[in-house]
Amino acid sequence: MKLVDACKRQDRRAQQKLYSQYARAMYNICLRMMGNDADAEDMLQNAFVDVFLKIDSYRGDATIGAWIKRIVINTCINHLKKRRLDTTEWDDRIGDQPAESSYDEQHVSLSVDKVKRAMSELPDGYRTVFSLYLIEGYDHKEIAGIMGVTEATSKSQYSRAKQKLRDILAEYA
Amino acid sequence: MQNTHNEMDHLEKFISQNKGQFDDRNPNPAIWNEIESRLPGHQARRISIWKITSAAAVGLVLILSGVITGMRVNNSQAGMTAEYVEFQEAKQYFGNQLQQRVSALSAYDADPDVYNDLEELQQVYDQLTTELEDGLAPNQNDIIQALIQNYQTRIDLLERVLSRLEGGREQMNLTSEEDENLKI
Repeated sequence: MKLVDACKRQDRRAQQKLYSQYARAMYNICLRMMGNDADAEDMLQNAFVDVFLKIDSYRGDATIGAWIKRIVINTCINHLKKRRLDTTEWDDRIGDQPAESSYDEQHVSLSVDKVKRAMSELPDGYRTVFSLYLIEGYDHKEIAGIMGVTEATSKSQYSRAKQKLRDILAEYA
Repeated sequence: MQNTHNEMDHLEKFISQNKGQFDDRNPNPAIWNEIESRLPGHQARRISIWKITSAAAVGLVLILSGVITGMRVNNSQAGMTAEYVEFQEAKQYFGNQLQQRVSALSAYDADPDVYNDLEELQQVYDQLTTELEDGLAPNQNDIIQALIQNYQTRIDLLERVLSRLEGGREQMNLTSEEDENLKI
């Protein structure tokens, strides 16, 4: 890939072009991971500085987009962990299902705006796992690797996040 | 819990089917400038290439002025050191370099602070020149070094500002291309 090769030579135009291609998608990931604009902007910046400093280690075994995305997500997770996201306290008891809520699928009309708003109300530990699984498209094994937890924890955390989201959406109805 | 993989519920289906609409926000365009200011490479390399070129030019001037001084060693005036003559030549080179960048900058609507900084540096330069012409300073070489340093500071400043402004313009031209490449 010519653009990546040029970036490896620290060609500033190429770096800017690569950034422009992925900035928007990556910014929206940062927003979902961090939950606010200020942190999302910082993470986008830190992640892309990292991308250009580490680009020599990109071997082409994933698409450049997937590689950048992984750096963006790691940057966000590391920052959340440093600050407040404590995954060691997560409950990984399997089978400990949250109680069914009053959320009635047939009667709640969904919209992207409503779901986005509800997601922003989730605690960090729920919102991150929920986004990684359902929107960023990672499976629980990958999420476990990213977050440094077991696969079972990722699954139960996702399940709780989904339930919590339903509760929030039910309140909107 | 097992149902999360195979059977998607209403909420999951809705989100999966509308994934694209979740990427609806644009990042602040200023973020690129922040990233760029933290990267090694192009800009630094351009300056170092420029430094090598100017060093070579100064070297050439040194040799030439050495020859010139050698030729008129008998009629050299008091206080007219070899360095002084050499500086007169270097001044022309640096003056040209500076002028080129100042005219390039005038094409942009640059921050007034840039002009203020340049003006301040020019004042320092003028003062140093007066001291040099007085011939009273104990060491003329120090003043000459300071004058050359002053030129380099101004040229470096202009280089940085220009590279940023050129970058900004390029980014604007890229937006249509960006839209086509959003999907990963």
